[in-house]
Amino acid sequence: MVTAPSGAAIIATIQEDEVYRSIWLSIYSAVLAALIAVALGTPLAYVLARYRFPGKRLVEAIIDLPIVIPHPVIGIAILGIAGRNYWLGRILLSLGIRLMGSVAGIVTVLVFVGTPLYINSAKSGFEAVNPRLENVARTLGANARQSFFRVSLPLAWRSMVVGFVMAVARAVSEFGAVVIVAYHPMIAPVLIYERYEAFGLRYSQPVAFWLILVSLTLFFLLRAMTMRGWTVGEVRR
Amino acid sequence: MTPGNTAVSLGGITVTYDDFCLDDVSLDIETGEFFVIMGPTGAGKTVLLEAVLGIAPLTAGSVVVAGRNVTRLPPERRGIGIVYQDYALFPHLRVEANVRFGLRYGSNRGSNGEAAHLEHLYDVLDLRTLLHRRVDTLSGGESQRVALARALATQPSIVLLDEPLSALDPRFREEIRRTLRRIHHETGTTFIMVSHDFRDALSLGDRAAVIHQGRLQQVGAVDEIFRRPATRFVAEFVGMENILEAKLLADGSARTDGGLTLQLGGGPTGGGPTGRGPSGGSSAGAVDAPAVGAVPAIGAGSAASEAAVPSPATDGVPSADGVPSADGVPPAAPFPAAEGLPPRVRLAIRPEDIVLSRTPLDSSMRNGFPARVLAVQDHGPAYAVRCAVATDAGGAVGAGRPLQPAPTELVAYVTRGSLLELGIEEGLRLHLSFKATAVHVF
Repeated sequence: MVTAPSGAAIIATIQEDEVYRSIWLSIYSAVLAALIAVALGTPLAYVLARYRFPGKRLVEAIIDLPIVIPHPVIGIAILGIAGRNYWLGRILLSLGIRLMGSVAGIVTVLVFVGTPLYINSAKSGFEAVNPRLENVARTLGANARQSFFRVSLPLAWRSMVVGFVMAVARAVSEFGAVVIVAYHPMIAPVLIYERYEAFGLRYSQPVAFWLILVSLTLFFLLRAMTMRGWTVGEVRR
Repeated sequence: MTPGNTAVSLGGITVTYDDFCLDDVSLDIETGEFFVIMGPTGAGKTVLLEAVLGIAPLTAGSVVVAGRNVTRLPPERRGIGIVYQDYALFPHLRVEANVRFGLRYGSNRGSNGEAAHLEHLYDVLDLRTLLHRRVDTLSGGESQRVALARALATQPSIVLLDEPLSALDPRFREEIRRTLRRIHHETGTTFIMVSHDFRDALSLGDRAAVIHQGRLQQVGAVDEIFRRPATRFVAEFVGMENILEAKLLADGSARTDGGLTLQLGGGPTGGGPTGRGPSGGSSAGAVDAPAVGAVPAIGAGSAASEAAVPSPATDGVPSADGVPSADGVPPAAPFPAAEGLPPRVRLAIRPEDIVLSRTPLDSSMRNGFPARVLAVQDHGPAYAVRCAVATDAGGAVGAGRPLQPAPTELVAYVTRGSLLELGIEEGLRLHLSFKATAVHVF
């Protein structure tokens, strides 16, 4: 598929405003969604890794839910609670946030599909940090926050980056849920789908080529960061 | 005990987990003391340490450190350091950064003697050559020294040691013991060490507590626990292999369920070293005076074998007959005056207090029985000789009667030399004696 389109078609495609904008939207909404997943998911991942509490299994099951249910259902569910005819949607609307057919809507969907992957990866990273290390840090005078940032985070950051990359990857590849919430503005998978439907395979392939190229480049960069040799301060595992 | 010299006061510490609980543990540990908490694996020792640290949540009880109630304070505000059994060094930091980890917080920051203190620790713990090493390249002993330095760097008033010796190669243990003793003396820090090995307490501890299944069994001077265990569990834990159920008789002796009549210690009780005498801190290899001084010498032809063996279990214990009673535990001696003791008691005799000989000993030892060797077991430095004891010498059963069907079994420790000299082997008939004062009643 990558080799089939001619070089000229590929060059011409990326010069199209629509293609360029859709790929850019795909990447940045996915990265934004993954960053939100990090912000929301890190405390949750840490709590799940460290503590036992009643209902923990239920929380874990709910987190995994977006992985197992069909993607259009996720889109429908989001519209169901946050569409303009529903209470949450009305509250959001009164705040000037519209999910249906907006970037905010796309990012919301991508947060839903990407966060479980991030949480599971970060959680296993925190689980691998011996709690005694945190205990020792506490006895040496660090409070809970300081011990997290000086001990747990430097030891678990690789898992967090891996989780972030997976969340981005998952978000870039999302189609089914996004297409229900926001056909426009078009992310790359929706554009590919539309071109395929309207003009056929030959017109969708160059777009696909560029989406794959951009995604792979990003992921190789991020993966390289988490390999041995790259260190943050004195971090080595 | 005034609050001024109590380092830690634990009041009714109770920690409840799903499958374990620490039940109402109360302890006072004095400032500058080397206190040892002993118990088998799973007894709750580490949980107790974590309760003191503020890591294990208390169901009930209080922790008072130097007169300050810290029960509700987080670990970072208690001023208590810990050295974990697995050292828990920060793997992402080099040795020096590990040691200096706590220096930036709270009252530790930029304190005056900080640099000097750190230099001193580097010297005492021999860390200079290690400072730039990664911690995953350190040996067990090196890791331990780093963990100790890290805990001491912030100058805590109390340092908790979680099984510091058990993970180490045996030949490093004595070195670490020496280091711990030295650091303890030099810093004046209160050390609380957890161990499942009684030898650690003997070589390091001032006082000790024995814990079993989450409950405190006995607290007192190490010698006191060693010589006068309060419960059957403690007796077994400290190596009292000979424990007999018995009834006290009116004349001050005791009659065991196996039919032996034992004379109980009524001898002088004064004069012994109080607490940890100088010999109490002696290192491995030092042999204390024989347990039984009045035995005819081996050279006299009686072939008596004194059971004073430099076995690990007995090393360093002053074995004067009159054991002083330390606070907390009511003295079991002297007899006969055993008022207050129930008619049913247990008798315990240390295996190293039992003397084996070919002929009855004409000595001050008031308990002597003919016996037959059942088994000989190599215990490293000592041999454990398991004997079946006939009841005829006790006077209660007619003289000359053969061994009873279910004879009482006693274990004695002898050296290899004695073993050969007496020709001890299975089935040998010989004499077994011990002093009245060697019988501990509880």
